[in-house]
Amino acid sequence: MKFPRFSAGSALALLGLLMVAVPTAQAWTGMGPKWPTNTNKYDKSGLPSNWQSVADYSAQQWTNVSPSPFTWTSDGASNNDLVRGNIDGGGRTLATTTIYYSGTRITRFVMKFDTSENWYLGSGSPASNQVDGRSVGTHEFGHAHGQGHAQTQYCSGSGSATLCPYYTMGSTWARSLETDDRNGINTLYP
Amino acid sequence: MKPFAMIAAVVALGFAAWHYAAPEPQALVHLMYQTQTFPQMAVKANAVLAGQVVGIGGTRWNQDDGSFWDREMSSGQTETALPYYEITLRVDDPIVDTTTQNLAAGHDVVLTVVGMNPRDEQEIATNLGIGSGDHGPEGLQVGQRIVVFAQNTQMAWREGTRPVLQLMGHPEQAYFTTVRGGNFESHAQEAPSGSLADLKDQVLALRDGQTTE
Repeated sequence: MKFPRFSAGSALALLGLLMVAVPTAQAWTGMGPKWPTNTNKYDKSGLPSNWQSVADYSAQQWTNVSPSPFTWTSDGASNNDLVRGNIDGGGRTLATTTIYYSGTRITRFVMKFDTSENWYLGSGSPASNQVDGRSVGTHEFGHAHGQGHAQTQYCSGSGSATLCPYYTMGSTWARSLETDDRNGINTLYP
Repeated sequence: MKPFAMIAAVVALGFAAWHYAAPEPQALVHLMYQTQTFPQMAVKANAVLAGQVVGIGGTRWNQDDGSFWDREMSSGQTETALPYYEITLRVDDPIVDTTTQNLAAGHDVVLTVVGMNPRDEQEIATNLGIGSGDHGPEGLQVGQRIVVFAQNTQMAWREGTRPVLQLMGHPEQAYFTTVRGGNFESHAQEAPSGSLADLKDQVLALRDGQTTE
């Protein structure tokens, strides 16, 4: 039995065919600018004390990602502020992260949590009418380092990326990062 | 020209050049929305409107002139502007209207979306060349026929709040668009697919007849 000869050219052609035929399901997006350094700080002193552990938990999820060397640390002197304030009343926009940038570099951020929401700030399970602070905080810290929202066609609720752009009341799935979230920070800060 | 006049002219030109070249504050804002299912939107909406999109504005910031702002609060923290954009809808059929705006057929109504216009985000990311911005499903276009769910809200304004008619939940989930065959479909959770009449029946059934009709 004769087998066709397998040249380097045909191997490359086959590889190219496979790359086209097997689409990558990358859902994460970049916002555009990113931090020039891998070590950055945030100031949580603008939050009430019961919010501060929520902020630390949320930042830590991204710091823990390996192999990315990117880290967040709390520092009251930082101008990367975490605050609470009115956005648009309860049940709509939960939080915002404003990124200031110059050229392609992020220079600072301000994160705001809506005071009108019914927040759950513990580490257990929120009630079905509560918004989980750790879930929303982890999502917002993803923006703070420059990741955009995950593409919504990949967002189906539980098990979806933390950076999916919407939150379902009472849920906690956005507290922990998914592969797609980790791929984002690992790519932006290798 | 006398030396003094020449120096004054150079200083004036320099100031003008500095003034006009001073970069606008560059800021990007991302938000997280609470999702609303179709039944939730149907029941809670102050307005469910069928109509045609006749305008989609660019990103504005929450003060009267629409420009970006920020300020230091007494705590030493910074308060920043909230972005929004407006969609103008020419109403064909006010399926539900519990607003005080009299959203009759033929009227144009302004709907507010809190957040940056996705096209502006995309443009920033593209111009920087190192990001892609958010890729939502094909965005809303002028000329599209939609059925949209909106609520009366008080949006934060630089000083106080401002009453607006705001899209519910995540903006991409707040409306149905027509697809091939003329049916309406939505990205909202638990959203049905069907004709305008079907959709209208379901909304009214969920609201138990609490409409303007």
